[in-house]
Amino acid sequence: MTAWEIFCQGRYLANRTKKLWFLLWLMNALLAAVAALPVFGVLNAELKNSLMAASLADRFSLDFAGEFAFKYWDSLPSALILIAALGMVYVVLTLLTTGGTLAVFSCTERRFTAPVFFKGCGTYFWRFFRLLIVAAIFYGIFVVALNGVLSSLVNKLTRPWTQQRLVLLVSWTRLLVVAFVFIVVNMVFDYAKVRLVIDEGRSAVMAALRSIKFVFRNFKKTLAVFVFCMLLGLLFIVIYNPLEHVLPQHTRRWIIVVFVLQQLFILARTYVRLTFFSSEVLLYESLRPSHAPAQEAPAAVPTTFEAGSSPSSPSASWTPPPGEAPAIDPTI
Amino acid sequence: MKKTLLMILSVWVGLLSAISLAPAALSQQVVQYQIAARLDPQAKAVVGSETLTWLNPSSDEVRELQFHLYLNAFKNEKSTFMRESGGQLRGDQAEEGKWGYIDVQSIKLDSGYDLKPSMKFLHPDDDNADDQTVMVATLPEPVRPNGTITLKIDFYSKLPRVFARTGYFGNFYMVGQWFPKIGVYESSGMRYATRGQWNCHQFHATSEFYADYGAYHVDLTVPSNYVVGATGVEQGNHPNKDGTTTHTFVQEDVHDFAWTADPTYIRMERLFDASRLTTAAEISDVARLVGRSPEDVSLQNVRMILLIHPEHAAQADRHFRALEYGLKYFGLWYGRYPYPTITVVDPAYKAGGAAGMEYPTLFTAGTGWLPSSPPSGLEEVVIHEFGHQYWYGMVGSNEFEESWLDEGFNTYSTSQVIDTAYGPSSLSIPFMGIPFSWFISSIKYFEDTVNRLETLGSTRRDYIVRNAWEYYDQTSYGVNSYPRTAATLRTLQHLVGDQTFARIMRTYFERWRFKHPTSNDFRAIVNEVAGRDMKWFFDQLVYSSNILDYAVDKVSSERPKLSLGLFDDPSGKRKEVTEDDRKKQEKEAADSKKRNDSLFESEVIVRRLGGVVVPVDVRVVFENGEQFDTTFDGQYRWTRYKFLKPTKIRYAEVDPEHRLLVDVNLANNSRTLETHHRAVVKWTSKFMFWIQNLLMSLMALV
Repeated sequence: MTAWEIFCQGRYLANRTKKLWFLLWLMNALLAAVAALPVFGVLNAELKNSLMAASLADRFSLDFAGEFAFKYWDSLPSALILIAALGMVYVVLTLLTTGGTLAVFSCTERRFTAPVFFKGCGTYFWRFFRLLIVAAIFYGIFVVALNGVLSSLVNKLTRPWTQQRLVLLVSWTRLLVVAFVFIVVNMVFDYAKVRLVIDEGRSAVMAALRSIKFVFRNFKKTLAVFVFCMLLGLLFIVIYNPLEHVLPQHTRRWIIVVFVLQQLFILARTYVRLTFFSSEVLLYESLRPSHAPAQEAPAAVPTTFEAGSSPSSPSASWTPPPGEAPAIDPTI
Repeated sequence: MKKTLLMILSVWVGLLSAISLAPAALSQQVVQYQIAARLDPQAKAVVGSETLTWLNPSSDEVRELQFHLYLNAFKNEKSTFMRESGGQLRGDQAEEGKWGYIDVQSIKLDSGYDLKPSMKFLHPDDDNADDQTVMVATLPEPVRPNGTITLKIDFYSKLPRVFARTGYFGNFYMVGQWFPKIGVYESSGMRYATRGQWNCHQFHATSEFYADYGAYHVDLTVPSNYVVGATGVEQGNHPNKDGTTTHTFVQEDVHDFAWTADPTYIRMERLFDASRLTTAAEISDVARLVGRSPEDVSLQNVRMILLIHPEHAAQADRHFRALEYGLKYFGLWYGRYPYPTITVVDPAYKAGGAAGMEYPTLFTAGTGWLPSSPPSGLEEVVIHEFGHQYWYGMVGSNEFEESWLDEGFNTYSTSQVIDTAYGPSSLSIPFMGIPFSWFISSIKYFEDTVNRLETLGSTRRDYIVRNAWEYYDQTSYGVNSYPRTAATLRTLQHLVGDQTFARIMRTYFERWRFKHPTSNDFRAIVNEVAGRDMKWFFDQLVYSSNILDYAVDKVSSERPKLSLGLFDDPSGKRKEVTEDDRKKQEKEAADSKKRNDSLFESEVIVRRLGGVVVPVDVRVVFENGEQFDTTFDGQYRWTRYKFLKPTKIRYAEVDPEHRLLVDVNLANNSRTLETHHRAVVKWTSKFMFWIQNLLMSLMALV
């Protein structure tokens, strides 16, 4: 089965989990709304009776933005703390929902059902939490440290150079290398999560190490699936940005239209994330060495899954109902 | 005999005509420098010899001479410059082991009298005994009033790695403030001097320069493959046997001399053709505006020289175009550029410390490999540094003591030129050297907006006028000397009117070119041309740190309510007005509203929130389109306006024409009766969307 076919099936699976989309969007929107509320309060106090509101409804005002920044500069740390706190809550919620999401994609039905989802959330939370710590170390070493080392090397190398063009080309190359390493680390930990769910592993470190092996053994395919998903995300950005730019935003109706568009974009991003997971689950299932049984002790929870929906017994030869999805390679 | 007489006569006539044809000096030439300098590329140093003739312009007997030795600022970490800057200026870092300094190897009178034994360092500003940027030499005999003295000085200038304006990087040399330069002797009554004294400040991190006008004749010897640019006109060059070439530059009526050399420069030259670049209509419009004749306003041709690095060669047109705009608008508005040449230097990459610096008839610009679309930093720096030919070059204010007179005036002028020539600029934030404005439509702004915004946080710490090294910090120096001054001058322009202000600036330039004005001199011209005493303006906005903030605090329009209680009518009968009567009256008023003849009691309160007291226009607009305009003198903290009209207020606004550019809060300048939520909802939803995206990106990491 080609990476493209995996990606297409992944999209199909993500399409089938609209309740999950909604749940993840709701989680995102509610948390963002908490951050937006104080901003609403401050803007309302500043603008509701000012003529400046009329011009700000039409277009961005550098005058107001500068004044606003100047006036509320002292509040910036509090705002950043609030956003950081929300970010942490979001991380916790994401750890929870990722377990549920992967459980949904790896169960026999591969459909969203509340019991499968919430059971998955609970089952994998602490494993994913441990994996997050391992991932932080990997990101620290392979992305942050690598970036630091490469930066200092580039600075040293280009110090006597008198042409900015050459220096920029080297700097861009450094950026590309770091971005590529970031993608690889990201892939490794995505597959580590998939592995923890499908193989019912418990050790985050083992999952990460085996995931590295898996990713590098199947580098072309894992990278291709990642790139397809990423391009899907870029496609949404390319569609959204010009649209948002050309739409008038000065009347109540258009402000609502743009708000809806923004939320559709967030839903699209949620869909892309789900496509990442579903494609990665499918790819992992298809490439797992001889469907080898899990080497670690299975978790106790899967036994409580509903019949036919155990995440520990994914059907590698699962195909969508006839007519619902692209043809699937029977060799899976 | 007849033949001899004829010969004598013809020689006499020839001499007379030669004298009358020679251009009259534009300045009192206090100094005459004749310098021979040789660049040593291995040592990164300049070996020089100067003959200085100094005219004592005062009625005092001068017994000592003071000199600037600016390069000693880079000698070690104990110099005043290094202590104040922490080895960091304009984003550039001083590099350890690449120090710069200047040694005066010999200093003698033309009689041969050696002044070196009397030489010592002074530190008039901060008593820093380690600072060697000011030198004094005691004379055996005083220089008499209006007398001259000639000295011969040998010096060795070791250039630093380009850091603060001057130095080298690779084979690029920007050589400024490089020779022993005599200070300015101020006689009693000149500027702020109460007695004759030298004005010769140490080199500070936040100060620039001050010197007397004169004539320079400089021979520069550099390796023959180097391309050279310098202050003034190159009179010729001749190769030497040792593989070097000597270039000779001369210029009168300037107060400094700088030069640059780099083998990789591409030298381009174009003519500023005044007749092609200015139209008769433009000249006539400006002549009317500034109250001068078209002949006074018309410009002259100038040779524009650009020394650009190959990497930026494609941007040559942008450099020349910006320079043309500078020559044109500065020339039309203030007075024509009088020198025959102007040289633009494109500093080497990583020699950013040398960028954006002005010297007489030569300045450094600064660009990158991938510049933003015009007008960008490239155009801004070219026009700004060219502008210093006026506010620094020709109007020779003391940059140590009154930086607003050069940097601030120039920021104001630069802003006017950019907005006039290019229209609004685009906000461009480069990432990894790539300007974002290439890909997304960016925010457009006029220079006034930026000057105003940069001013917002500054006014609480310093007055605009202050010794450059005595501001609260470098940021306060920068903000007060540049954008705050520009915004303040713009406010003054709005208060006195465009035409009056144009005449003020023109008069100031004309009266003080090739002289050393002070803030008081500018203020005197403002009063003279405006025909009124504007002391209050200067006291509050230049010599104060108060802020200007007017606000509409309250707007209300209500129907008058029937008062409850017992009331005696003229016949002595007592009548009680009850809640029922009030309701009945409100009902009648509601009915009359439909008929549009109900009266409203309206009230507007305007407050002065800041310390600056300026008369401010107040406008109240009613729903029926009626408009009430008045002026609040601001003397007390607030004022109330009451109206009884058959219509409600739509809004009230202070400073409706936006004349007070230094008002720190424009959002509170107006108040509407109805609330508007569209902008609030729109920008809150945008903020929420940004946070949502941030969280989504976080999700990809977890």
